[in-house]
Amino acid sequence: MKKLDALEFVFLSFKGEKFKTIMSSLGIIIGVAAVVVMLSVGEGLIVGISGVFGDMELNMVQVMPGGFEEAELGRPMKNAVLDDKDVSILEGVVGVERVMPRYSAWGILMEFRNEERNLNIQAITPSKEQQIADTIETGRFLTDSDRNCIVLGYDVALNMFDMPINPGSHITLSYPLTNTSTDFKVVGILNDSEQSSFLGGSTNSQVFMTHPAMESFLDIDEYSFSYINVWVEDQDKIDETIERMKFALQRTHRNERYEIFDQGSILEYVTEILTKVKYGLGGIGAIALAVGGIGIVNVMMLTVTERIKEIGVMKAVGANKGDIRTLFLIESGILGLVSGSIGVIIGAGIAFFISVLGDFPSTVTLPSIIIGLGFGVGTAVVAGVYPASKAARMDPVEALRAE
Amino acid sequence: MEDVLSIRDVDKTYQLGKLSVPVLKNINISIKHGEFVAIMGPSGSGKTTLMNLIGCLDRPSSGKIFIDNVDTSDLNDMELARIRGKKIGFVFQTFNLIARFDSFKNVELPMIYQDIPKAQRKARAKELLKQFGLGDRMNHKPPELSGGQRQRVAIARSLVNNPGILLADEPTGNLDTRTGEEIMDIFKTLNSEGMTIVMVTHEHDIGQMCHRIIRIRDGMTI
Ligand SMILES: Nc1ncnc2c1ncn2[C@@H]1O[C@H](COP(=O)(O)OP(=O)(O)O)[C@@H](O)[C@H]1O
Ligand SMILES: [Mg+2]
Repeated sequence: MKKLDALEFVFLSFKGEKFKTIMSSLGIIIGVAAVVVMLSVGEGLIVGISGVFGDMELNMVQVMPGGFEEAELGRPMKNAVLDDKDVSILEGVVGVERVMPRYSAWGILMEFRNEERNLNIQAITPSKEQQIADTIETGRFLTDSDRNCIVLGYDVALNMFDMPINPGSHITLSYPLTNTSTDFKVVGILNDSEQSSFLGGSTNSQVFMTHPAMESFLDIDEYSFSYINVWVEDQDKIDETIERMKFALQRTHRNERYEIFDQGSILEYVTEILTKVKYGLGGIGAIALAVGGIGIVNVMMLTVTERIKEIGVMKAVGANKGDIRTLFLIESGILGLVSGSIGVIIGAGIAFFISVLGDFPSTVTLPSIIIGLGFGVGTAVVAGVYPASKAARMDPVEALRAE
Repeated sequence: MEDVLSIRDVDKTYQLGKLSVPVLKNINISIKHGEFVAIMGPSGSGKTTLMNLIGCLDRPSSGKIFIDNVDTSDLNDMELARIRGKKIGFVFQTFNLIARFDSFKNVELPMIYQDIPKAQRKARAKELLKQFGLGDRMNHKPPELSGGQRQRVAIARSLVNNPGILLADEPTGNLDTRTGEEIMDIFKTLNSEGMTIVMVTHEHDIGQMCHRIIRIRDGMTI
């Protein structure tokens, strides 16, 4: 028997039993839709997050005290304290272009005309932050000798308070933890920067002051840097440069904990995790499919039972086992293909809907369609194997006697 | 003269749990080309069982059955299916048509399993359906046909692959007398054109028209 003739038979039986065909396909439709949704949403997350990373500067490296490293046996490790000495050490490393020590203070209250807002503030060394200096929109940037001056990000100045803040305005910062409070003069406003980077972040909601200003504002005993941003000259040599930085820091920070992050490896790491999440989600879809497969087994068994007499007739007029098996396998395969296609369409629709709701790029990728369809057809064919072989093995005399 | 069919020392025993039920005992029959043979006997005597063995739908418990001098007891399932499809035409009392296929597809079916090209199948099925007066019933499904029409579709189907022997198990059993006579006329004509026919029947006058009557009682020829 030619496959084409078997296909025609299958078509005839679908035509005759539309309702049953659709009902039996429901499990596969849902399963395939689930696989497509899961894979697409997973893919969308990756694309969305990579998009955030896409804007960032890949030649920036961050040196941070602390870390996840376990202390070696018998040698307790303390967190490294980063100070001006480290800045000069890093500036001397071959391949390093610029070194920017930073301090981040969280939960600072800023008061302007009797309004209070909660903010994070960055302390910087202005002479080393040309990049920020270049984004001054109004007023001036900080100088290293400034004490009670601050520069505001675009949103902080223009959107955060009821009234816009202009250069020359005075604001009060207070630090609830130590109950200190200091008046500052706003000397400059930065321009609107959409630019965001994973390690740096957009400057729109940031506030900058000098390190000495921060130290006296916070009034803490041992002021040291939260982290040091380092620009390397050549992104391709970033790994070598990091090695040299580690070697240089080794002299003053033996057996102390610190980490050097580069954005590229963070991106890789996050993507890797997301990929696992994506296939994990796909796995959930696969379970749905397996349940759909059981549905197909049921329906095919029912079909075989209903058609016992027919199988007997086919055998009586010359069909062999292979002919009967092929017929039922093709029937369940087509069932899988048809319901899989419906599932892909439904799944793509749902994935699109989710991406609109979740506001990340809709990516119903070709692989997720192929994987979804493949799983649908595969599940259906595997589900058809047992019923088909049961039909094929049927004794013709017994089958003809069935009513 | 060549035997189209030769049955030698055939036994058939059904196993019902621990119970052995002998249905056919030591059957020996030879049928020559062009013969029209009637098999007669009381209900339950084993006639259908014998026809199923001849038709390669079942295997004997012992003994041999030769069709065109080929020992069918040596053949595997695949080869038996081929014999059923090519060398044997089977007409049943209950027609055994596929209800969801139309007349045309029912008649085409045996040719599909012999991988005959579509165009050839179409021509042959049409030719036979017209020959049996069903030219205007080709796209009717069995439930839309009368008993006589159904049996004519079944006869057309049994002949499509030009079998060497035609088996008919009480082909008029489900038909009224007049329709039964029409069907018998078809078999007579086929036989006069050279077809070898073995037919199970209850009715005496039908038996009388045949060349030879083989009588079975309690699974034995008498
Ligand atoms: N598959 C079977 N299993 C057990 N007994 C059977 C089977 N088929 C037929 N028989 C028995 O064999 C005997 C002959 O049956 P059958 O050949 O149909 O007789 P007939 O066609 O002459 O009426 C009956 O007693 C029947 O009950
Ligand atoms: Mg009988």
